[in-house]
Amino acid sequence: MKDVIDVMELQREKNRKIQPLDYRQMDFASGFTPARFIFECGMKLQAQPLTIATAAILMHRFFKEVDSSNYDHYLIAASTLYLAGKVKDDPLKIRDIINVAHNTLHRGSGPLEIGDEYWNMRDAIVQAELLIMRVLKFEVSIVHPHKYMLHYLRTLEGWIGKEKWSNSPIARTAAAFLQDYHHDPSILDYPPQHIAIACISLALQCYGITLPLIEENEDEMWYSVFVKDLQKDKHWEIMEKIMEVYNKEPETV
Amino acid sequence: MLPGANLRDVNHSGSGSTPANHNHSVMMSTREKEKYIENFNFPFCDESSKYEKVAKIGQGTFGEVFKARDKSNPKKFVAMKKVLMDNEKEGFPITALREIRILQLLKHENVVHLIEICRTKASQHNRYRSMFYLVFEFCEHDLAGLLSNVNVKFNLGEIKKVMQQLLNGLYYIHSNKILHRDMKAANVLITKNGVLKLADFGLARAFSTNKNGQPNRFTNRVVTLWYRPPELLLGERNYGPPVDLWGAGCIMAEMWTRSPIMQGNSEQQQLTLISQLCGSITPTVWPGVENLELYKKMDLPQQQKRKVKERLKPYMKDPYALDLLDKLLVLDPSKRHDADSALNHDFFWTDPMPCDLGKMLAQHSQSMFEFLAPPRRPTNMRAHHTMAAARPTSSAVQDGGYQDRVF
Repeated sequence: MKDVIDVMELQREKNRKIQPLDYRQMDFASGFTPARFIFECGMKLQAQPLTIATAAILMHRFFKEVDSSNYDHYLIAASTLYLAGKVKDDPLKIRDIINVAHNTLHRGSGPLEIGDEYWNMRDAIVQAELLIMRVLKFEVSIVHPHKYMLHYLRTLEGWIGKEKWSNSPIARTAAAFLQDYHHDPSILDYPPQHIAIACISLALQCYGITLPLIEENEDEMWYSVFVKDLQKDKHWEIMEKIMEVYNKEPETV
Repeated sequence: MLPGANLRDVNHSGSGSTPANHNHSVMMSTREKEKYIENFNFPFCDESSKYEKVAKIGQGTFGEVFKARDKSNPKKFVAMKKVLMDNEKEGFPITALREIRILQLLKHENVVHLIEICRTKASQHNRYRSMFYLVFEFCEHDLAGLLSNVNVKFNLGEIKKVMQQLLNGLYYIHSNKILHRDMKAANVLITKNGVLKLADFGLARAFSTNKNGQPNRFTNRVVTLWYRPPELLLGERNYGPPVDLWGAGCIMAEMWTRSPIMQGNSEQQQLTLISQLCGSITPTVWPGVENLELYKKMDLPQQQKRKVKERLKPYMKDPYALDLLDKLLVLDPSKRHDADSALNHDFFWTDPMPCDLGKMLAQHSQSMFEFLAPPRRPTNMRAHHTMAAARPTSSAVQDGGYQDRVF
């Protein structure tokens, strides 16, 4: 299984370099989304990568439907994690979610005592979960770009050739782009296949890899063997959106 | 119904069901909150009052089922299945969510169609918590109800049509990596036009072929006892589509016998009945069976000959029918026919060919559900439902189960 992209490992490596964020100080008006909180909590809960991705997508879809200033962003984020666990058959215990969410918001604090505060939070998550489901009309199944990306990458591996492939971390980079793109609500605007292609394209460009037997010309792109309906400008648009995510990343001291 | 408690600042929040946003809720009295909830117009999920209940028609795995009329179109009927919300503290039940997701995924002529999910208005009567209904297209009959009515007669072509549609439905759900896990005549619905629909996905789940060589560990407490395949009775947890095909075989035989062919009243007795019909369960006919958890714990009758064809012959004259049944009721799940090979069986491709059920059903104007029909036998089939394991199952009449048995 050495070819499998270990997104978790990728994230752990990244985490080592990143300073913890004080989520309570974040300004949502400037485009910050609770996705980062979802990823941090999800990772601490040892949820599957697709469960965390599901939570992020559910969160973006919820805030697309409602006036976000009416809701506590982190409550919704914690509830989407709880719901995503159920959707993905990767159940997360509500007790664990509460403890992890609480500790992530109040760094250094101990586990919550079983008391009013705990029960209020628990009740709030259960209620918010139902609210999210209702707002999303119970349509909580998500088609992820991940499986498409995996399929495309496998094909590319044979296309590029084993040696060149193993010399540059295309798969890992593309997977990282895909995970990070979950921070931005624009991920909802594109079909999963297109997102998968854009992540791979970015990774290829990062390492300056061109595909053999492909001539640089205007109307044939390398990905046309995978997807027929991706226009060149759309392709660029998604890649730009992915890169913007990194500009929006909050500064940490 | 906005959640009131606030993760950042929990101490300020009131109870979890505060209706308005946090700042307003502090200022509202309880009565005002109640009023607010009652008058709250929730735009995302329709209210169940758009339908008018006509009758209770059944009891599903996770709730009651009603027939209802669409008020805006009185000719249109739907079936409404209530979502039981026992465990409020754990939120929306994962089993209900599974059923909803599976139904949203499956779109096929032979699978029941989910129209929408409705809610009741929150009011004093439900402690200001909405109830939820799954709204399905309405089907006039279920197979158990039809079979228990002596006036309903299926000819060979019609039986073929029933089985063909049933296997088509199974082929479709299995290709979508879904196991039904509760095949029985009562869960097979038939519209008045003769279209068969698989229903009640309350126990269904997605399956995948073993990843990383890790065997699946599904629960084996599924499928109503009389339709439960031998591998589940022996404790297998790494099972797959063949569990549904065993049930399809039981239903097929029932098309002729008119009552379930193996009505055990315990798991042990069910295994005994299976051995008596399908022959002894041994590693010779079923390599690997000796590794199943309960193989040594259960009392498995030895020296039993396989008598599927012999025993069903008095009911099923058609040799192709007997042969197909023989291939469905195979002990070893890996040798059991799958939906595709069953559909390719000569049974469906020889005269009389499968023929439309609409004409025959048109003679019966009354809706037939097992739930409404007089009981077919003294034992209550529902009492055997596995998910009800906690409920007393001993209430079933002990010797009654024998009297009514086919063999």
